[in-house]
Amino acid sequence: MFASLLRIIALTRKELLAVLKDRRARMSMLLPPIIQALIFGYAATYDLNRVPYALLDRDHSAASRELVAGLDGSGVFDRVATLQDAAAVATVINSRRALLVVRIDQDFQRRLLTGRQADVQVIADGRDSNTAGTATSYVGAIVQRFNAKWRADHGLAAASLQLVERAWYNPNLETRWYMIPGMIGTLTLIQTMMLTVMSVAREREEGTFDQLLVTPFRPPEIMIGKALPSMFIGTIQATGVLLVGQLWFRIPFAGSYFVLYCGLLLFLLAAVGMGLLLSSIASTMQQAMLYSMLFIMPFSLLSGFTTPISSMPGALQAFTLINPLRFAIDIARRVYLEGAGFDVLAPDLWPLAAIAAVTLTAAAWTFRRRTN
Amino acid sequence: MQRLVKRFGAFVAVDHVSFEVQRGEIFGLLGPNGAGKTTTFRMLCGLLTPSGGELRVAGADVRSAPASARERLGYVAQKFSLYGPLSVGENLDFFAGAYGLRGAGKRERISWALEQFELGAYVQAMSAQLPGGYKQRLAMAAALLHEPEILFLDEPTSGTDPLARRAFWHRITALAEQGVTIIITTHFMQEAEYCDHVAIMDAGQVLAQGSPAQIRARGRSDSTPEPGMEDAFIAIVEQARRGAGGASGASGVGKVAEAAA
Amino acid sequence: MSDAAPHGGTGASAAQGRWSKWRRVRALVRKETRQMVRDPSSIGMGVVLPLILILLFGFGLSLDVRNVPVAVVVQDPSADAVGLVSSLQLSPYFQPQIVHAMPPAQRLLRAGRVKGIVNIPSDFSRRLAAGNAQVQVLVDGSDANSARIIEGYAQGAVGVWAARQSAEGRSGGAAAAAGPVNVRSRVWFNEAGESRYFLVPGLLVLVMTLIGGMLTAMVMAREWEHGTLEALFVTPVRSDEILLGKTLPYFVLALVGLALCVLSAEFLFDVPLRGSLWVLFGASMLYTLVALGTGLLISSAVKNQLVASQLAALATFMPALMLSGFLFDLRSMPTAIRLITYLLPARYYVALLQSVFLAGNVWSVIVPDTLVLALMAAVLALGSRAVTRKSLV
Repeated sequence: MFASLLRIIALTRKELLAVLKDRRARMSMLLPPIIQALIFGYAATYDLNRVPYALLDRDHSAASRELVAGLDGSGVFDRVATLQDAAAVATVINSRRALLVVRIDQDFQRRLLTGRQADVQVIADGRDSNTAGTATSYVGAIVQRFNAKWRADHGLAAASLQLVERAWYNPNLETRWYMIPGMIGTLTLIQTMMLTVMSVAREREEGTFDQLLVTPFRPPEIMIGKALPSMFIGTIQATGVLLVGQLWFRIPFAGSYFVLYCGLLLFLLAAVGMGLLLSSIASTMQQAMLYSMLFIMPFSLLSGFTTPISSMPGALQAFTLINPLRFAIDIARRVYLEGAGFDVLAPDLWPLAAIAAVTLTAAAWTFRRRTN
Repeated sequence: MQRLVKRFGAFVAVDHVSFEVQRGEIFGLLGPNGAGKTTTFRMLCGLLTPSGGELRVAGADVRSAPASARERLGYVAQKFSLYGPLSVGENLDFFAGAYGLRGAGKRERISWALEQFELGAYVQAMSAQLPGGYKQRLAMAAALLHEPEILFLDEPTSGTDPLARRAFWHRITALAEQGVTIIITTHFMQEAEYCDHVAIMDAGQVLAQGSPAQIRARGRSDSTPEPGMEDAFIAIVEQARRGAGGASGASGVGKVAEAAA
Repeated sequence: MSDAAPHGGTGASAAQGRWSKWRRVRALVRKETRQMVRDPSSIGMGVVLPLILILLFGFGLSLDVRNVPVAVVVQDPSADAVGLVSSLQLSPYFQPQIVHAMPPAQRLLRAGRVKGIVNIPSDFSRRLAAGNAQVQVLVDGSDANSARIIEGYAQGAVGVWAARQSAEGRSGGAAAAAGPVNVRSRVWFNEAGESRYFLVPGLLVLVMTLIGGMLTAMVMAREWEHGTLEALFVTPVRSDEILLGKTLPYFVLALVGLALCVLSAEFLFDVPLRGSLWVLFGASMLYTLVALGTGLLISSAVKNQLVASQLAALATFMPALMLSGFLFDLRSMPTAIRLITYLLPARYYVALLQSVFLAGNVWSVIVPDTLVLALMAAVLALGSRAVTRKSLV
């Protein structure tokens, strides 16, 4: 028993040495998550800025100018062109110079003054439909403000029905707050799984695996000896991303570190378990990379990281139940932004534990068979 | 105590091969490429599971108690298979730990290894960058750290110069005198002379066993009244191949063995 | 050095030299292809992975927000409240759960079972008649994208209800809910607003990057590690012939992947291809060249499979996913990041694809983007050639 422990410690030490000894390798383990967290923390935003739009104002009235002022002053839209006729609309949209064209017709002010409804037409470039949709709804919000002001200025009754909106946990609805906790899981998964699978594949490819098998190491010990360093490095990477979120982007951490790291640990166990299972199938490093990509891609895309799970078709939603990343992201978000505790997180923690248990056992079994 | 390596058959790669090796013996396994030597070897080390037959190494049944058997043996592969990115010292440290050495005992064995194999100057050097001969020394050192009862060496002298080869055999015979059993494969026939016992394999079968002198005697013929090992070897193998049903037949079997090995 | 070997020269021997150069390249290509076909992992990367991605993107991913579970707190039993609730239920965007008090709704939100709460207060009907009714919408901000969309949909559902009220000639209070100015929007090129339409070009970028960038980086790093490149160098083959011979099969593999994606886009997902196929293939070829060049550069610089794969993922794949513009709008990023994206080939490729698929041959977009890609391809080709030569010498 004790001898077993000693062997495992020896293997773990050797693994960490092999991985961290070379300065370049060290950098490639520790820097990428931080760099990615920084870049994507800034890049990943569904908030809009500097949206180029073109204006076709046929009315040139005080009312239309007031509406346009609302657009120009919003901080979201950049007027790149003021058009004179409808023909120019096609050119400016096709060439992507503008994402939207806002068109105000001649009778705009007249209709308003006579108490009728006036239309504002928005033409959006659907090639970039996500942004176009959001931009259009921004225009809607600006129009609503105009409406409210118009009513007040012209003595009309205020809208009898108002929608009051508030957001919990992320009052400014900053996408970044939503992305960074998600990144903790995603970046860690990619690196940890790839590292685990490739380190075993490398041993097979270079023949050192045979040398290992000739020693008293038992297959489960080898597995543990490979798993521990990966988990250790994974934890460091996750911490790196966490620190970027907290210290650089100053996203307030609402929960308990203990809960977060417990969840993280379970997640790493599951990720490493999958990695080890894959590694017993791959005999070269290239295969290792392929197999890990085969899993990492669906996992990271279908995890709720960028697109919500609730919009996925039922079958795929069921698939996410075996995706450890899905739970990790949920845990990270809830703990980070909402301060959730173990009680609320239980529905995420149990599946992780189950995945870890299943994959590690299966890996142990295939490891043993593969070594013979 | 006798180490019994009895018969074991594994499809056509190794066809019911049996031999026995005594403690403290240097036993050589000779044969052309594709003879099944490496497959046999790997079964002996526990790297391959035999499809049939019994196998006892150092008194332990390799199939049922693999781990305890492995503690008593050491293995040096043909291609350098220690960790290239690690230094000499780090490799020795790891393998010492793998065999359960620790503390003062470990330090002592490592310094013995460094001294014995003249690796002291290279302790910090990256193993992958060692000159060829030193790599081999490192591999041997790592295999001997735990003072095994049996040492398996797979073509250890291929690619070394005659001087290094001589030094190597000095070491081997010294080890044998200390009671370590050495099982070695090679295709340098002259080296067979250093062995106490030799088995010649071809096409998955043992063609001849015995002391070098006995083997040489088998090669005696009219054209070669005083055969060297090489002549004997060629004669034996050719005879067997002819007997196996013509040249094409023998080479056919040989091909299958090669593919399976 | 084989580079010093006579090559070219005058007249017949020059033609001879060129002919044997192509023969050598062809031999290399044949060997590489055979190797590639025998190794399941290359085919896996080139065919299986793209297929999986296609399925995922086409069927799994959607930025459309639908069937969002929300809790609706109804404390007013009046007809107005009931009307509003049914409007929410009819909306395809919502899956309302009716509760009758705030605390249970808040519990649901906290547990993550609903993503928003619509609170219709107990005096709703009365205040509506008086002209100052309020409906509260509370969203889970940790999913900022959905949150904003939910707010929008809620407004929409309420607006629909209000419009119907006034159409039916109901209480004047509700009628005034419609604003003086109304926004009517039209979307060009993607009338249905199907997010799939722009996710599919994104898919193409990822597939090309995978095969062109990552697979190549791995393969070449492996050759460096095993020393097979140096072995080749000793033969009469010149270094650029080596590069050509090694990368050509993977280039073809990339085109196979491209074909698969385009076919499924057309037939499986009904994404229209309004531009010309030639432009599409030309642009894809250019992008693949750029990705190949990047992969080669990385592998020559690093020569280690593990590090090369990680670096390739970092330098080619992640940017293609996140900084190419198909998922996150480029203009909205901070200036520093935006400047970085100008260096990314994926950005130009995505823009090209979006236009070619959805708009047709818009030359004012196609020409500049293509030129940039061509320039990058040229620079990378020269660069990787130089690095390879330097490493082999």
